[in-house]
Amino acid sequence: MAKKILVTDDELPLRQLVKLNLTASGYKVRTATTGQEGLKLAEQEKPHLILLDIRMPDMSGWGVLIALKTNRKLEKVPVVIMTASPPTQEDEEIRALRAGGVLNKPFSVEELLQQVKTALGEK
Amino acid sequence: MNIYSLISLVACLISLSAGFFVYVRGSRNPLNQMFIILCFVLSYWSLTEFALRQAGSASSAQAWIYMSSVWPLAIAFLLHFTLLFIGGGEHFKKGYVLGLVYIPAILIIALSPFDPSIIGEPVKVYWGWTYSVSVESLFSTLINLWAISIALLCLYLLVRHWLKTDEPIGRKRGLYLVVGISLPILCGVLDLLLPYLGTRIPELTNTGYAIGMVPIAYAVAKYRLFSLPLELVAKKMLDTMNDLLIITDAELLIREVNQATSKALGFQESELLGQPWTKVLPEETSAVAVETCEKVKSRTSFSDLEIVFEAKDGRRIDVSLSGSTIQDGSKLRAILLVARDITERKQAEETLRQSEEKYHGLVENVKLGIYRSTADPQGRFLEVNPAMSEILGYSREELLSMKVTDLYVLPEERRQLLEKEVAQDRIVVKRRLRRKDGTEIMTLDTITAMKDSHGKVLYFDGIMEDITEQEKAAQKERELHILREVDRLRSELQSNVSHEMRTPLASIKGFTTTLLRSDVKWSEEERTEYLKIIDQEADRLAWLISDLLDIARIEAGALKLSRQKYQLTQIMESIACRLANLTRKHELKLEIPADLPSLFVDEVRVIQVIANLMENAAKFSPEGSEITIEAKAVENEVMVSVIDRGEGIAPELTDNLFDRYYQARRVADGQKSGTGLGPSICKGIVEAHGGRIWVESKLGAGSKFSFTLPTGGD
Repeated sequence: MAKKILVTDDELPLRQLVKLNLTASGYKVRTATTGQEGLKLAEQEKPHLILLDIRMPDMSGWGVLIALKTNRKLEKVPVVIMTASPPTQEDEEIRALRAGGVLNKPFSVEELLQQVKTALGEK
Repeated sequence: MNIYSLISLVACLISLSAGFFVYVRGSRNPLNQMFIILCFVLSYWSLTEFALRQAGSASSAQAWIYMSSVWPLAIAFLLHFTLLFIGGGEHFKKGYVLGLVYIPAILIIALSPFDPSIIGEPVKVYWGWTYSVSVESLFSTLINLWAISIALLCLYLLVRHWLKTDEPIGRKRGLYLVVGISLPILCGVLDLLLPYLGTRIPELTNTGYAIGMVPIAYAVAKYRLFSLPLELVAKKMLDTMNDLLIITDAELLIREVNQATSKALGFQESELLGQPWTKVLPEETSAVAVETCEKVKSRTSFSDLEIVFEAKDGRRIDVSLSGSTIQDGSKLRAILLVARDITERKQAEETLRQSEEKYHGLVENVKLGIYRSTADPQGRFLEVNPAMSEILGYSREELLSMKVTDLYVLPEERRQLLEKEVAQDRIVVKRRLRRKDGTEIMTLDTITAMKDSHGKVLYFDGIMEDITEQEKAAQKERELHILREVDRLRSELQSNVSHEMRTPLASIKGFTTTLLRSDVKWSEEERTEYLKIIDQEADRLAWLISDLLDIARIEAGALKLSRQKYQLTQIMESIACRLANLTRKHELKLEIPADLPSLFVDEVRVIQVIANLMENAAKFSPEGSEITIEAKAVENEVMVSVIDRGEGIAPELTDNLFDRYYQARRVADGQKSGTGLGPSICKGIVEAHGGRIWVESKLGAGSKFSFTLPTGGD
C-alpha cells in the first residue's frame, strides 16, 4: 500500500513540484496551502510523512510543527522541514523538535526523494 | 417775724439753691449726690428752725423741735460726704465708719420723741422760740460729744487731704471745700458747746452753712469740685485697659500698676508696689531692660520694644513695651511703661514665618524656574526665582531688566507662543532658549495666563524646567532605537529577500531536476507545463532582482529618468492589458478625465508605480471587489489615486508604509508574500519626479494610495 505524504506549502509551484515527483515515485500525496489546512488534513489522513514549509502566511511553520509534535496522535509522524533560510540555528531547533529532516530550498528532486525515503525509514 | 428767723429762712433757701446748683452743674457721681442730699437735709433743718423761731405758742414750738430732730442725720451725711471726697475707702473701712454714724443718727432721731432731754423743751428767748439744752442730761451730752467729734473728724480729714494733695487743681478744690465746710462745722460745734459754758447766742450753724456755700459753689463752677477726683478716674480708666501699665518713680521702683498687669502676671498689686520694675522680667533679660530704662531717662520715650515678661508662676509673656517719662520741669518724676501682650501675635507671626519659610524654601531651592512675565510681544520678567538664574545663567537683576525675546534662539517663536497662550489659559510648551554663555538649552514650560474679568491677559505665570539633559538623553535613546530598529529590519529584509529569491529558484531547480529524472518518463504536455513554470519563476526572479536594483539606485540617488511629455490616458492605454491581467478577479474602474494637462515624466517608471499600486490593491482586497483608478488636476500637478475596498492598513503602519524596512517587517510577520519593496520603490520614483505619495486608509474599509506627478514638458 502506497504511503501517504502530506505536503504543506503556500507556494503553488513548489506544491506542484513535490506532489508530481512523489506521486511519480509511488506515494499517495495530499497538499495543503496553509498551516491550518495542513493540521486539519494531518488529523484526518494520518499521513506517514509531512513535508512542511517553515514560512507560511497564516501561521509560522514552527507553529504547525509544535502543534504536530504536541498532538498525541501525530507526534510520531516524521516531519521534513522545507526552508529557504540558510541552515544555521534553525537546524538546531528542528532537531530539538525531532523533525524528520530538513530540505533547503532550492533542492533537487534527488535530494527530495532521498529525504523522504530517509524520513520514512525506507533506506 | 424777727431778723433771726429771717436768717434761718435765708439759710434754708441758700442750702436749697446750693443743692439745685450742684444738681444742675455737677456730674452724676456718688459724691455729687451725697452733697445734694446733705444740702436738702440742711435746708429742711433751716426751715424747721425758721418755723420754730417764730412759732406762735409753746406747743407749736415743741412740734417744730420734734420736726427738727433730723439733724444727726445731717452729721452722718457730712461724714459720708467727706469720706467720699477724700477717697476714704482706702483708709477707712467704710462700712464700719458709716455704721457708727448712721445707726446712732437714726437711733437719736427715733428716741427723741420719748426723751425731751435729747432735743430740749421750747423756751422763748429774744431771738424767738428755741430749744432748751439740758446740760445736766448725760445722754444729751454724749449725743452732743458724738456730733462734735464727728464734725471735727470731718474737718480734720478735709484739711489733711487738702494738705496732702500735690496736684494744683486738687489742692484748690480741697481748699475751697475746707473753707466751705469748716465754717458750718465750727458754728455747729459752737452751738453745741456754748450751752455748757452757760452762754446762749442765736444758733449759728445754719448761718455758717449759708456763708460756707459761697466758696463751695464757686469751686463747683470753677474747678468742677464735684466731679470725681482725676486720679480716681485715671485709675478706673487704667484698670479697664487691656494693656499692662506700670508706673515707676525715677528710681525705677513700681508706684502704680493697673489691673491688667496684676491679672496677666499673677501678682497682687501689693506684691509689685515698691518693687523694682525688673521684677516682672525674667532674670536673663533684666540687664537689657534696665539698660532700656536708662535710655528712657535720657531720651523722652521709646516704643514697641519687644521683650518678655515673666509671670509669678514662671509663665513667659511676649510683650511690646513702650515707655515715656513724666517730667516736672527738668526733674524726672516717673516712667510710664505700657506693655501690650503680643503672645498671640507672636504665635501668629511664628506660624506665618514658618509657612513662609516653608514656601520660600520651596520656591528658592526648587530646581524649577518660576517666573511671572508681562504679556506684551517682547515680554519682561516681573519676578523670577533663583532657579531661573541657574537655568539661564543670568543674574536675577539681569533677567528682570532684559526682554524675554532675548532668551529665545528664534525670537519669532515667542509671537506664536503668545497667540497660543492668549487663546488657552494654560499651555505646556517646549522652548529652545539661549543661556548667557551662548549655549542652547531646551526647557519645558507650563505657562498660565492670568486674566482680568474681561479676559484681558494681565501677566503670565510660568514654571520652567531645564530638560536639555533629558532631551539629549531622549534624543540619543531615539537615535539608538532607530539604529537598532534599522539594523533589525535590515537583517529581516535580508532574510526576506533571500527567502523571496530562493522560492522561485527552488521552483526552477525543482522543475529542472524533475525534467531530468531518469526514472520517470514525462509526457510532452507535462514537460511543456514544467518548462512554463520554470519560465514564470525565472521572470519572477528577474523582477525581484530589478526591484532590488531599483531600491539600490533610489537609495544611492542614482535613479535615472528619461522624461518626456505624455498624456496620462496614453500611459493608461499602454498598460491596459497588464492592468486587466492584474485585476482579473476584481472590478477595475477608471475615472480619468480626458482634459488633464500633459505630464512630464518617465513613462516606464510611472507605469511601474501604477502597476505596483494595482498589484498591491489586488493582493490586499477580496475577489470581486472594486478597484478604482482616478486622476485629477491639482494646481500644476496631476494627482493619481488607486482606491481599493480591501482590508485596509492599520494606522500605525500607514506612516511607515513607504519605508522599505517597515514594509519588510509587515511581510516578515507572515502576511502576504512579496518583498514588500513595492511602496518604497514607488515613493522613490514619485519623489524623483518631484511628486509626493501617500496613503489614506481605514482598517476594514480599504485604502487609497495617491501620488502626484508634475505637468508641463512644453
